[in-house]
Amino acid sequence: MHSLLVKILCTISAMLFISSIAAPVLESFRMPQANIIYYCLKYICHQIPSRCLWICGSNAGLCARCFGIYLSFSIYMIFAFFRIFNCSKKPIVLGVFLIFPLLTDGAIATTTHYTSNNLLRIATGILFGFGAGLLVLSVKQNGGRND
Amino acid sequence: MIRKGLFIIMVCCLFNQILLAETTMVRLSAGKPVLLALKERIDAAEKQEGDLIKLMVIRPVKVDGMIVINKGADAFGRIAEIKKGKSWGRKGEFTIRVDSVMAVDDTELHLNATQTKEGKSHVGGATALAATTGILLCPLIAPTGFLIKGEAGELPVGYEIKAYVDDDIDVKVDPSAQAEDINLPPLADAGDNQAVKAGNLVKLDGRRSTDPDGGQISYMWAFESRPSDSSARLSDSETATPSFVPDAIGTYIIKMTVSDGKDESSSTCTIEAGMSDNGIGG
Repeated sequence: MHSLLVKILCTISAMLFISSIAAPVLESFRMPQANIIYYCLKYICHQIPSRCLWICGSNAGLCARCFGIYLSFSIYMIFAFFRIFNCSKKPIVLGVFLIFPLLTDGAIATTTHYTSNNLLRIATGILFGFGAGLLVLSVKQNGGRND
Repeated sequence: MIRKGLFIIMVCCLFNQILLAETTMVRLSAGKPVLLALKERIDAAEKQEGDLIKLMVIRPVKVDGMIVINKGADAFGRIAEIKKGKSWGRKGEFTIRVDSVMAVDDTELHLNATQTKEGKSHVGGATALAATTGILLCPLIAPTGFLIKGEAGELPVGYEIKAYVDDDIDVKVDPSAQAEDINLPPLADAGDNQAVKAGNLVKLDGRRSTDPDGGQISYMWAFESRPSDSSARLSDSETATPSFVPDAIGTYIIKMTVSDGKDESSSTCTIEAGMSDNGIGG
């Protein structure tokens, strides 16, 4: 059951991440499929072009933050599936610690005149993705034990 | 003699190289994305179909590493369609169409992009008003909800639009040109015009101003004009949200200048101060 959840989460996040890269690449070859990908990803992310990474002369399908999140989340799920990385000591504390930078960056940018940059967005996104993966799986494991 | 001949040939080759290096033709293919930002706020309620829209390029467009459209280049568009907010709180919408941008050799390039923005719907409010008046007052005046109109929508200054080059076109470029360090001026928006009563506090709001480069901006507000008998003063005039109390009836025009440390831009807002309840200004 645990590995099925990991597989599903990994597949979804990896698909989003790959689609995000595929959209500008396809667009550079003037392939209409790019528009479909952009359209679909618009439901997940705001896609403000200046807040996205630019690949092949066009913006990625996800903003820098989401790009980092889905990249690291899928990597974490692959690690979890192959049991390469196993955080057994206080995973929830570590998870919260990892998601904190993105929340702080986003909150300050929303409430003040501070403007984040793409490097910071992607860095905090990567940390958030690892943290979210850690939290999801540790909550799932703890839930399983309680049952 | 041979030496002189060789020298002349070498000089000619050198000049030829220099001349060739100055400009090169590159082909900008149709479908190439161009990232633009609105230079002004668009409020559909104040615009008409066909009105000109000013935009600017916020990311240089390159072909084979050479810049064909400079960062900061002017681009133009038009309001293609406006559907004003309808009765019963139904929202309106408007569509803008991006037409052209200037390339580095001042060639006008045709762009292809449309952006539709929907306004806010007030259907719930209109229905509630109709139901309330119907229940409490009289069913005959229940259709008062008809009077509530939805909003037509607006796009803020700095709003990003991704346009595409419409046709294949050859552009003359300078291979040595570097436009990465061009600073884009901040985009100023002094907020909505207001009609208030004299003696009441007026809050101004320049928070919609933005710097396309993502930098910090500073604010400076000042009266551009005010009634001759007014001695109103702006408080917090170096913040995004200053305020003042109009002490005389008339028109106050306030100019906001925003700066990113390198460039400045400004915007004005108009405050119409009317007769107050306690007679101030009268």
